[in-house]
Amino acid sequence: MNRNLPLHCPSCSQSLIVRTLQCVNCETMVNGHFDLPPLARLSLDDQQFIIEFVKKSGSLKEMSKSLGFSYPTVRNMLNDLIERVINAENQNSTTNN
Amino acid sequence: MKPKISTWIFNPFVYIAGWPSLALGWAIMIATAVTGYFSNTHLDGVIGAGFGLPAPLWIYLIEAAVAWFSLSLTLFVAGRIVSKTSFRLIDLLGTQALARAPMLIVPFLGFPEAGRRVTRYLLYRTLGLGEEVTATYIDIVLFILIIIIMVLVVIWMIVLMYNSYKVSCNVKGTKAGVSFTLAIILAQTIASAFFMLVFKDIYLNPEGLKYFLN
Repeated sequence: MNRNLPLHCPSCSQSLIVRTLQCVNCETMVNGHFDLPPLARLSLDDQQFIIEFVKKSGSLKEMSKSLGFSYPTVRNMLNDLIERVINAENQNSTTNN
Repeated sequence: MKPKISTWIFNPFVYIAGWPSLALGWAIMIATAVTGYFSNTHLDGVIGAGFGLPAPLWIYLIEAAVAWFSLSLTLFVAGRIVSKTSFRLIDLLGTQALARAPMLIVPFLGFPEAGRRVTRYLLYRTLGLGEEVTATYIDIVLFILIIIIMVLVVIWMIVLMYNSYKVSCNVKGTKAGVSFTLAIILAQTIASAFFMLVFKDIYLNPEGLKYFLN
């Protein structure tokens, strides 16, 4: 089963941070305050889009073919995604401050 | 993702744009002009059409080209002003050509004589123009049906044109609505001015047609 990474607090809807990391081998735990990287803050669909985009060497034409959408539609999807990445980055810098 | 039928009908530009859209759009525009030639239906405006006088085929083709290009041009300028992102002219030209596809229905509405008869009847009764003609109830019912179909076709086409603009230029919300409305008014003015200046002999004077036919 694919488990989605929760990004927002179910109680107050604020952004979540990482408090604990664990080694899958020896189960050593590291506690601290770690912000999620901007890409991890995006939805799974957005992350999948970015992975495909990189795999296709950043070609919107190839993306358009594989997704079955027209070129301007894919370009608009990318523009919307760019905005969300910028927002995620801004969110990170706000959390750090 | 499975393509939705409603998206294909009202916003096919999600799936098709650029050169393929331009080729398909032009093919349909030519078919519309040829059908218009046989039914004397002039698409002499960005969103308008009229049943008029016979004319050579090239006039119908130019009418279609001017109607398509004038709106593409004004939307291109509007997009450049309003859109925050860059876009390709070919996407706008292609999707605007395809957006005119519903107009293929209109020339077929010009075939029944009832439409012309009621128009001549109304012109004579209301403005005293032309000669007196009689229109039957069937003529009037057919005429009303033609008008309803034409209105629906034009609404469908406007929705397509708007979606073409939104997809090609990446504009949304109020900005998209206002800029599209202004662009369509400007394009209609440009097209009307062109038609009245270049084709005035045909539109205003039946005798002038001889000039074009020779």
